[in-house]
Amino acid sequence: MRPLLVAALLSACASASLEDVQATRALEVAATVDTDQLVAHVTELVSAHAEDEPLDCTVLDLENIDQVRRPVCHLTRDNARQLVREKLEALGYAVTLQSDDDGVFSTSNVVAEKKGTTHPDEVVLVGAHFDAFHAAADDNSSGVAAMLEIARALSGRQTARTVRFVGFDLEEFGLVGSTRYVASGGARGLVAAVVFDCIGFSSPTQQGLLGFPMPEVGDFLGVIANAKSEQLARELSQLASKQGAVKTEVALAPGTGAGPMTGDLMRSDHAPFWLAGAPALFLTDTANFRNPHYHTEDDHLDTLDPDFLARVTKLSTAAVAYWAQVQP
Amino acid sequence: MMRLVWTLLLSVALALPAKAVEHRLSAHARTGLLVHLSGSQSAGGAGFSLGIRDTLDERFILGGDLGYLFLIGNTLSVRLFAGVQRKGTWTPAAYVTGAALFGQRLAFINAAHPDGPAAFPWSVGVSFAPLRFRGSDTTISVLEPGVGFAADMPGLGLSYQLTLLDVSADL
Repeated sequence: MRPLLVAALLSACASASLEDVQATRALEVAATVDTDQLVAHVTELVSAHAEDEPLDCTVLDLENIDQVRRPVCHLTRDNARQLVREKLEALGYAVTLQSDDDGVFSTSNVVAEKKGTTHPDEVVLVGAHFDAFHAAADDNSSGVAAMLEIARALSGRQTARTVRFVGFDLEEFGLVGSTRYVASGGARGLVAAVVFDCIGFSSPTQQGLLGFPMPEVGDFLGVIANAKSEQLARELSQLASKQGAVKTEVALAPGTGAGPMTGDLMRSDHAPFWLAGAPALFLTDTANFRNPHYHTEDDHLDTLDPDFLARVTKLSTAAVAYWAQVQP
Repeated sequence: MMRLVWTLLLSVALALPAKAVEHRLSAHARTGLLVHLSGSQSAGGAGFSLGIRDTLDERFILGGDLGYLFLIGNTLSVRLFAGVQRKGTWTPAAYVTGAALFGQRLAFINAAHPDGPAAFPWSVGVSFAPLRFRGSDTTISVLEPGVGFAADMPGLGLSYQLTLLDVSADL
């Protein structure tokens, strides 16, 4: 009886803490994140959006859309998609497009993958939407830049698990690309997913929300999880403590996360994964709860905090490297 | 918390006169809101509960109920209360309440709570029933506000309660 009890206690302790060797390797990978590269990615993505033609919005029911909150006639995506594809290919990844069309809007998600060496069927996914309203620096060139920088940091390394990078299309029109991606079987084999949406803005002030306690200073990374991804959130939080790069505020939604009071936690491309029962984390600077330029023409590069973006990317890189079991 | 509630209940019982106490048992159904908010968790929501209460000498009230709440996950509520009421047709009452919530909740992990919530949400507080009326064998109360406090270490948890309708029938 006693050995069983001891074994159970040891098992409980092991599941609650990080595996040290793997965490150390992951933090080494994270240390290679380059702020200049991140800023360069954001700059190119913002330019790509600026030079693009907005999507034809006349097929939408414009009279019933709040176009201040959702400026649907200012959405661009094609140039950004091409740029993401080229950058991932340049890093040596095999890139495919996962395309779909419902007769109203076609979508093409950009998918790049590096096969795991020993557990290729177990997938760690890193995602960010590349479509954007207006200038798009924080929303979501910051997230796409983080995804590209993680891809760069891992490009020369072997991982036990498969790492997959997905640029999601048409998030701003209602998570269209990610919903279609999950519907096509994209959540199969997923052991962890990280979705970035707005991760480059910091502020001396932070707007709160009833039932969601938040610090008064907007210098933290919001980490949103549901019951299925709680363990991932705890591991990310532990990595953040170990790394000391950025403060995290984790919100663990009950069940799938889909509830009457938790709608604000479902506002990005992680939501289809949650609804499919896949473990996914949503990482954000809290967007409109912090950033006054959210969904406006003023969402420019010079409003971002490159250091904050780099610290968030370092933590995210460590987490992805940890879950993917990066090899020495 | 349970010790405190039982102490309160015992205090009410000891305050009763030594003569034979007249008991009136009733069953009640209640609907409304009960939300617990703190730095480590948010729980509760809207729902209903069923319970029993004993009215002693038409003055003192002891009772408890079990309920279901939704909005922030699915939650079981357990509430104990002791109170005092006015006699007559208009029977406003004031209660000391102890409430605990079990089940799903929105939990937070941050610098103050690195492991998340330490315990299930609970609170001890007060509530008031200013619009409470007694018929021949039923009592109806509407709009009972209440507030409760809990040590949600570190920090304070607050619970907010608003009973929209409470109907009780004598057994």
